[in-house]
Amino acid sequence: MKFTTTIAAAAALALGLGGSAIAQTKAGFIYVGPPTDFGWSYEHDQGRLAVEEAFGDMVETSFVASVPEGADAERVMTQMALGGVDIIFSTSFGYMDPTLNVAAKFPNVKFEHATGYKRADNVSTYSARFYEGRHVIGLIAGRMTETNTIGYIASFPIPEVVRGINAAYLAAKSVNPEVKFKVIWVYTWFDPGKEADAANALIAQGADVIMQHTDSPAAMTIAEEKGIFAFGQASDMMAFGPTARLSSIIDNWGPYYVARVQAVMDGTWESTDTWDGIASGMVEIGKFSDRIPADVQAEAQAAADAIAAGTLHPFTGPINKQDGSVWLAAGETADDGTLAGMNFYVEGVEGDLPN
Amino acid sequence: MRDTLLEIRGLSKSYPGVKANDNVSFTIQEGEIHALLGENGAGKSTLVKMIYGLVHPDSGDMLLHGEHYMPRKPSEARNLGVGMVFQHFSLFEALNVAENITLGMEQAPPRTELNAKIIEVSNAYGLPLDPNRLIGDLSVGERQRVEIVRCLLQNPRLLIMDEPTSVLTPQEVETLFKTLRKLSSEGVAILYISHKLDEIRSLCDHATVLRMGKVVDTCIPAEETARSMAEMMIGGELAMPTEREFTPGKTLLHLQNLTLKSLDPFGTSLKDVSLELRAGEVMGIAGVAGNGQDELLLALSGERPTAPSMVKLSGVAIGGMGPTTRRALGLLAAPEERLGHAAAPDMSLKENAYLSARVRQGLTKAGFTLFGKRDDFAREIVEKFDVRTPGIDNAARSLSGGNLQKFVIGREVLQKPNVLVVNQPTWGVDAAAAADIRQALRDLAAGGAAILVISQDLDELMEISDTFAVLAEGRMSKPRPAAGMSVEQIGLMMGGNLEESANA
Amino acid sequence: MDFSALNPVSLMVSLIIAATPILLAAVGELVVEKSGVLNLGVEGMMIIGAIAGFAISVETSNPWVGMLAAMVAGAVFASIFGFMTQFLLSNQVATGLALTLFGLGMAALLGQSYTGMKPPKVPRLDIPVLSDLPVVGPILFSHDPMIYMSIALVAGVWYFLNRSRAGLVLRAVGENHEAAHSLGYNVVMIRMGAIAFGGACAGLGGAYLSLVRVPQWTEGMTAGAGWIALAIVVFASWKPWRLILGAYLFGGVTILQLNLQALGIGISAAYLSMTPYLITIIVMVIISADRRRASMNAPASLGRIFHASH
Repeated sequence: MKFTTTIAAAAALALGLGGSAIAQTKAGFIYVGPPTDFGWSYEHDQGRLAVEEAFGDMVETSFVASVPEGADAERVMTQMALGGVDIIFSTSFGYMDPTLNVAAKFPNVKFEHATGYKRADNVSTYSARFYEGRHVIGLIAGRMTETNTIGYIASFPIPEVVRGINAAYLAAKSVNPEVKFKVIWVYTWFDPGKEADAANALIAQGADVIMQHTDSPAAMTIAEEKGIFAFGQASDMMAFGPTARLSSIIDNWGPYYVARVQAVMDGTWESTDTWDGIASGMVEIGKFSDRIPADVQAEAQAAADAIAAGTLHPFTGPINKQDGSVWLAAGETADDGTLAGMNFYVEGVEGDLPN
Repeated sequence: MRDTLLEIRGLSKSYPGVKANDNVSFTIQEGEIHALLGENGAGKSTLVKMIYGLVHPDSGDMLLHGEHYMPRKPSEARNLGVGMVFQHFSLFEALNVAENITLGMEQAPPRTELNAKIIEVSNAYGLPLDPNRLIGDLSVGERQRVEIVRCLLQNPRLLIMDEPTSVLTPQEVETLFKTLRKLSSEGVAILYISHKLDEIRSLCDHATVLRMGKVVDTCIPAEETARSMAEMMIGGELAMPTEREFTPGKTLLHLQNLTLKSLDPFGTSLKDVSLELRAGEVMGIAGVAGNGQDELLLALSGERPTAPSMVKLSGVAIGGMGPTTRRALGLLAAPEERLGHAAAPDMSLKENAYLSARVRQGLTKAGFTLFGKRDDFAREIVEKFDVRTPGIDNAARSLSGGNLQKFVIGREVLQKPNVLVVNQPTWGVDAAAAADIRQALRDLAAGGAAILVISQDLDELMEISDTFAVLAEGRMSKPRPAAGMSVEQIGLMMGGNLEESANA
Repeated sequence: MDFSALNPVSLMVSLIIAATPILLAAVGELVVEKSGVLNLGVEGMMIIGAIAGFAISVETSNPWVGMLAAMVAGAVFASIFGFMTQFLLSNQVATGLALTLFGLGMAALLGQSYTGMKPPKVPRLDIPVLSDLPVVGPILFSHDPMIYMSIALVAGVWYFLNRSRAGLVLRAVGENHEAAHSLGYNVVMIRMGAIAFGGACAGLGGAYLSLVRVPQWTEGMTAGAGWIALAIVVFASWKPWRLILGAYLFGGVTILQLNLQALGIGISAAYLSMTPYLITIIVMVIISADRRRASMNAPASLGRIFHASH
């Protein structure tokens, strides 16, 4: 195995010498799902395409899709590094430890790990403040529900997902004191059948607005079929629920990816921790559906603008934890450290948070 | 005057490297019981399969009732009144009697009607059967009845029987012969294949002898001796076993209340089996298949461990030891099922020799196989036991049943065991080869080893054994000297009447 | 704890919908295994059916044509396995696994242009009067026709295997292929037929997933349903009626755990998620504890290669 890769590297070198004179920068991407999932992986792939568009022949990109989190990810990244890439974007939380392991073996390759919290000299982390988007769609959901029941399909109990639930709940509650959240943990990022079942279960329990933190548009399809509301997740998902879709949180990775690849080309890349939101455009709010009344649209837009301007923080006290203990005093805002490790529900969310 | 039923004219069939049948011709009259004789590999099976439509001849033709007859598949043969009872039954254990019979019929009547017919026909021919019983619950003799009744329900004119008595008790053989004679009297012809020449002498009207795929002789069995017919088959003198004196030495193998639950849902558990086997002794264990023979072999070979003291070898409790340890101590076993148990079908003969003889023959050194020594041992087996094979690199699967049996027995005998256990040592082996195997076993005993022979062939046991016991429903009779026992006595014991041995 | 919010009617309805794809695939696999063939490619055949059914439904705007196409596609796809194992005598386990991987890849390729499309709706069968009955109406009489078909299919397979001569022959082939061959039955062709039937059923199950249960096309959307179908065949100890029990139990536990979560009942979801598999293991232990019955139901020639020796 090692022998063959050595030969391949030598051959690549020979070709490089004989071929184009421009030193190409190579960027590798690994995705947890298929790039056609029209959700999480799809948007990362859109970011990759943005890189290609920005640099043309100067940059060569490659990707490996549907890589399970764990040992397989480590193998894939090792292969990429041996293949001579300069920067690797590992785009799922579960790739965290594999990314660090591979990074330790290839100090000259830059790594960008999405949504994680462990860094090294050649490992940056980046994430989007999805909770800012959750705040906006939480407001809409709180206004639009008639049964005062909002269903939430959650993947795994990790801080990012918990944060989203809390942000959405607080926003909905602020405009509709009667609102209740029902959360189902499906323990998968991608299983359309199970996501659809979960959506059905929530609807049967009275939910008339569905939010999701999983990757497939299955819940949107069910919402469309059942005539209730839902929000696009990670991607717009308009095609799957033309009438059900109220708005969406769209991940826009393109600008960040272009900037990081540029940094590699300029030799200015260094390990950073990026956490951008609506202000930088990393989190976009999808177009509002006509079914949202104008005043609600205006309210949501105002919230988004205020967040972008830095005058509104979705986690502003007074907020108690689920057990009633004080988390944030009146006027106090949450610090990034607490948000990054959030492992509790805020007061009012029902059910126990699995651990 | 009987009419000609089937006329076979110049049938030939070749397989790569073998001419299985070469211009075979003979005729069968209506109501005749016609024996087909020949050594293993003489071409008997190929010939009957052509008559039954399973194999198609390269040349030659057949006439049935004077009309052209060349079945392309068994259903055509059955439609024209030709039925066959296989040596290895074509039955389905998990299905019941009626379902098994339906499967062998072209136009099966509705189930209730069929059940009534099964009962009627089976009783008429002295072969009573319950249509609703599962085959798996039936004895071997009853299974054969199912095969026969299946043929009879289709009003056959010719019934082909391949080694029908090899698995039956003497009483069951008598019943079968009555049935066959009754059929014969009704005009049904029977083509009968057997190695048991005495049976053929008492049952058959005519015999055709095949050797190397050719018809070499015909005879009227009643006018011949078993020996003369055997010599026709092999085309030479038959070696007869030499008589010898039996002087038992010290006890080598001691079984004490051996009890073992069968793992096979259709098997029989062993209950309190006790015996003492002495140096120089050949003990025959008779019994109808499925009465605990397989379990006894497994308990002795070490494949099924028991309480240590249940099995003792030269006084050492070995019941808990595995096969390799037992081999090292000198207890060897050759199971009945040749392919898949005694030998690994897809492995070569030299590899198969290695598998069993590694320990005793010292075929390894420091964890490495001594290839030269292994190949020499495999060659020695092939030469001394006349195993007919192109070479020791051939897969076990490629050998005919009789040849593989010679190899399996030879492999164990040449390891010079202290105690050798064999199950069905000559099953499917022709007369000459069987005589050789028996002689080898007796020679081994004469050299001071103790031999336990499990067999369903009573003639064989009577010929080879010094002492004799019967296994019935997992229990064993008290061993007693073989001399002076009658076949009738043994038959009753095999049927489960173990007290017979005490009364006798 | 308030269980009153747990609506048994909608619970039953989602349970049946979740169970039907597995049931369809399992009943096909049961016939295949009864003929003595172990086809581990159920997952691959399902996803081929899912994309074929989806694509043809979209192109023709007719879900029934799509389902028919899914059956044909599944049968053709399974026949690749049949050809490999019955004529080229390849190992059934390895070939079955390869079929799954091949199916997943091929479906992804075929489905590229169908992502994000909406299939035509499968109408529900609303039986007048009966459908309007309270409780019983929505549970029994107001599903899409495929649900009824899947039950009818199980009944049909039961009748075929236990009452018809052809079914008896098929079981005989699975029980002892040597004996069946010597009686003159064409073992290979009977098995090819069973394999194609199994493929058609798995394909239909896949199409039900992409046309009714979700309904959309996404890559890898079967997400292990084929493996559950294989487990259910063993769970049912090769008896058709028990397949319904197994499939509904699997569907039921999944649906129940999702609903209990929605109710906010504090059972760890991890425990609930593993329940179906735990039940399978327990059932298999119970079945195999009785060796005699287990071996009576399992086809004796299952997975063994048949090669006519003459």
